[in-house]
Amino acid sequence: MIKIKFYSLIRMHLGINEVEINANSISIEKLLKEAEKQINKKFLDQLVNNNHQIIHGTMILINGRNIVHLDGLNSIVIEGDEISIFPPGGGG
Amino acid sequence: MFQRNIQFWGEEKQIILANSSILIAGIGGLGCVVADGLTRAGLGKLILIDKDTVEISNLNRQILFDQNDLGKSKVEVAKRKLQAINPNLEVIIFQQTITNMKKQTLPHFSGIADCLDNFAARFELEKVLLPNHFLVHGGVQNDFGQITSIMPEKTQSLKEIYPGVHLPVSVPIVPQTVQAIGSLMVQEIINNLFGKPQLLNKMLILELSDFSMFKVKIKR
Repeated sequence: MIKIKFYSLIRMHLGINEVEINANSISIEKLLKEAEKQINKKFLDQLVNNNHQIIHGTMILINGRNIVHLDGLNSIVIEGDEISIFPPGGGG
Repeated sequence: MFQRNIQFWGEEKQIILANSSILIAGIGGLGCVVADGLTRAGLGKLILIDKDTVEISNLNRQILFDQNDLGKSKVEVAKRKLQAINPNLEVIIFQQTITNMKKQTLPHFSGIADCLDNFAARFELEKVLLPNHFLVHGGVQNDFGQITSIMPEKTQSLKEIYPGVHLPVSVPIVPQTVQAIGSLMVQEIINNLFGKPQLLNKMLILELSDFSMFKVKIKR
């Protein structure tokens, strides 16, 4: 299983804290699409724009590492990985 | 003045605070709460940096300011109000942006409180961080916010944690969010000063709506 944890705005949007997906060795993008099916609610459009790029201000971490430092949306996730998704607060 | 603090953490730690100095970048919602909290905790010296003057729209959340301060320099008003709380507090002020500050012009400090309102300035701020110094980062929006501790060579930099993040400067913020996140920043700054930071390589996320708090691991 791969656990996806949601925080702040996206958590409020989905109304759940986390979801577990039965998957192994797939891209993070495919995993998130699977999550949309399982939850039966869209959220990927809040993370990725029409040009297939991660929207600025979105944090998608695989085991605490931002996917921007990995292979972006093509980053591979495996059984046991933990994904964290949140938009940081920018104000002070 | 600090009798109740000493009852909790003891004379020795109160002396550590009295000998410590924190650079607070940004005297907005978070900066006011952090400055107030550190003053009442018994910190010896604060360095305040903010270029702005007090505006009416600041008063919903910036607890050091009131109607009489409109149009005045934030750092000057903050200095006066903090020293009215503790006259022994040393306060050094700079009314300018962090980008205009150079490492060599800054006085000595033990650590930094990042209370800025945009990521571009935050990435500039962390450049003045010296080895073995810490930066406690806070950010707020709506009714949520996050905190982490940054130390060169021990954690990622803010620029690495938030790659490519550019959010609008003016975001919705309510008073209880800055007071909650600001108070938690004070705790983590004190944790750092006492040599026990809790948020190295961890991001604390607080959501006020349902009172939930999470620690997310951040890997180097």
